[in-house]
Amino acid sequence: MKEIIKKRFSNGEIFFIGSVVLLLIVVAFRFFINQFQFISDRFGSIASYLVSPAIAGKVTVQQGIAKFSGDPLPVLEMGDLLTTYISLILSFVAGPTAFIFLWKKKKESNAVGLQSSLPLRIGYGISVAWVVLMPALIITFTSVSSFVFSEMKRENALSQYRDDVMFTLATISDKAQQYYILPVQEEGGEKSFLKENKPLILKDLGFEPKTSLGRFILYRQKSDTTLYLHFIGTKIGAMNEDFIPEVTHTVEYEVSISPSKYFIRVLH
Amino acid sequence: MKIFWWFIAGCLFVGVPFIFGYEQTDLWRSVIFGAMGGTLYLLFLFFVVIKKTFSLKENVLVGSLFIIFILAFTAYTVNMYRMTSYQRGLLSVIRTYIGSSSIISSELHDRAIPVLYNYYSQSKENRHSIVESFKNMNNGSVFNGEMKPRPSSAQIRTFVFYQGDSLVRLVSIDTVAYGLKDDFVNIGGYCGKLQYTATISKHGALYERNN
Repeated sequence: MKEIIKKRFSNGEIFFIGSVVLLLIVVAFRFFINQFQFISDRFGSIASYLVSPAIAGKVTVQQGIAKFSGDPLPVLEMGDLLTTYISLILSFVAGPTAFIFLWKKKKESNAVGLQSSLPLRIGYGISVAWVVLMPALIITFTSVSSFVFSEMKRENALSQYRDDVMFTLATISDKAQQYYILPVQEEGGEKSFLKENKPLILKDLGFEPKTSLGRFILYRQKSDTTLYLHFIGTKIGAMNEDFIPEVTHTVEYEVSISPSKYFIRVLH
Repeated sequence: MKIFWWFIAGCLFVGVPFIFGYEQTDLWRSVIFGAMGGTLYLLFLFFVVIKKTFSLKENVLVGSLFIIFILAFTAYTVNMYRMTSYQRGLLSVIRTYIGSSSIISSELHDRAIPVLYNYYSQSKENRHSIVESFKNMNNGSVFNGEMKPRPSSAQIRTFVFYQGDSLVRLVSIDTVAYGLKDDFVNIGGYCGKLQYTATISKHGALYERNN
């Protein structure tokens, strides 16, 4: 088998075919990456030492954390600077230079009919692996990070939406409490959640029952000192992996409003 | 020996722009400049050594490998930059959300509603003013025009202003979260921070976001 391959393909062709096969394996691996979380985690930590943008990214996130907690921006650590430089040297200089010169030397030995030395062959093998694996590793890591990025954006959209809803619910509750306290002359309910003997509605407080966030329903039960605010959110549509819109979440809250307190309860 | 000098040259190709791009708090410029230097080195290596030494087929093979590597590295750098910048921005947004809800619900709402409640609970004949109601309810909590911070939200500072007897104005700032404009001058010597104002009068409490 080995002889047949050697007869039909040159070393360069075998090398090229090998690289393509490896790339295909990497692409296949990308589609199953979520099912192998452990492997992907290990892979991620290896890559973070090898690929300099990952270190720069880590520093950027550290800046965000500092801003979040009100600390001054962290000054770059010498270790990060050095690791980044070494990783650039390994990627752009050491691997390719070793590969080219060892290959050249191996060719020169073969040309005069000599078999190249064992260290040369080992070095050549390592440099070939490095030159092929490095782009493969970067391509894989790019695919993984793209996937993580799109997931992150989707989660963030939902979280921002929830924050907006909570803020609106708190504002409505506050208005309702003020209505209860203020006298009729100040357009309040004077210790009542009724308006002209009818239950208070959202329009009385200056809010629309239907907004881009969803539907708000203000109602009261038997007690005159408690109001209820029910919220049913707009269904959040998101693109699935095949870029087909799918409904992922429904958001539902209930708020009980008393004259001095309100409680927001998440139903869904 | 030749390989050694090429390696040194490569270190310089990457190292000089890498140092040139140095910033005290950010690595991106160094990474991008260093990678550009590295790309130049690969081109140099290709045209000086590879083109002269190897066959056309081998040239194409090595050239393709180099191009794949450079493209992959560029794509990864762009993706990583976008993702981490987004995360950094997101943390700021989250912090502002936390600050907003903390100021509105814990700081302003929780202080304004009891004052209104107290004011309208008094009999009409002997009713104290809104300012007096506020002072009575917050006796011992205001020092030099500033409310004593709550332990749960120590980063929030609230300043109190009175207008005659009829109006109390509470100005709350979050000393960590950023507001809408970076150049906004906050009360208390801060700049660009999140700030809200609550105006409490007998007509009710009105909240507005200043920054």
